[in-house]
Amino acid sequence: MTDELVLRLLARLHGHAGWLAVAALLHPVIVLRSPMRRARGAAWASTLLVSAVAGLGAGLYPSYRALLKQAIFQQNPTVGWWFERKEHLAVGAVTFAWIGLLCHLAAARADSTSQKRLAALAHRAYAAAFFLALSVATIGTIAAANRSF
Amino acid sequence: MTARSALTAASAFAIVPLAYAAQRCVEVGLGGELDPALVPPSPRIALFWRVGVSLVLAAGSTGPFYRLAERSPALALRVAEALAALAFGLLVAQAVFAP
Repeated sequence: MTDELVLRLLARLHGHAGWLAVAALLHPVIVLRSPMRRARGAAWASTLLVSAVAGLGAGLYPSYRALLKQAIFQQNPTVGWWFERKEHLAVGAVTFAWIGLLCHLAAARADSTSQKRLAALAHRAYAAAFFLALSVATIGTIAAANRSF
Repeated sequence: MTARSALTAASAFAIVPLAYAAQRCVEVGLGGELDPALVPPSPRIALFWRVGVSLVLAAGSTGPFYRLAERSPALALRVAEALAALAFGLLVAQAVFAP
C-alpha cells in the first residue's frame, strides 16, 4: 500500500470514528442529567473514543500540514481557517470529556454536599464536550468534502 | 481514585483548554500565523507546541490544586467549575473571533 492510500484510509477512519464519538458523547449528556445516576461504562467509553479519535487526528496533522494545508488555503481560505478552528475546538472536546469523566468518578466517592455539584459539573463538562465535538465533526466533514488526502 | 485526586485532576484538565485558548488569543493579538496560502508550511507545528505548553502548565498546577482540595474541597470544587467555565468561554470566543 502506498503512503497516500494509508493516509486516505486513516483520514476516512478519523472522520467516521469522529461522528461515532459525537454520538457516544451524547449518551453521558443524556444519562447524567440525573445527579444520582451512575454511568461509568458510558463515561469511560465515550471519553476513550473521543481521545482515540483526537490521537488519530494528531497523528494525521503533520501530513495535513505538509501535503494539504497550503493548497487548501490557496483554493479556499475560508475552509482552511475553519479547519484551523476545528483543531482548537478538538482540544477542548477531549479535555472536557476527561473533566466530565473525572468529576463523574469523583462524585461516587464524595460526601453528599459535594456529590450533587460534582455530578452537575460532570454533566456540564460532557455537554460542553458534545457541543465542541459536534462542531469539530461538522467542520471536518465540510473540509473533507472540499479536499482530502 | 479518591474524590480529592479526581477533583485535582479535573481542575488540572480544565487548565489545558484554558491555556490553549489563551495562547491562541495571544497569537491572534500578536498578528496570528503568517498567511498559510503564501508561505510554505512551517516546520514548527504550532498545534503540538500549544498542546505541550498547556500540558506542562496543567501538570505544574496539580500540586496547588491537590493542596486546595485537601484544605477546602468546596472551594476546590468552585475553582474547578470556574476554570471549566472560563476555558469553555475562551475556547468558543477564540473560535468565533480569531481566524
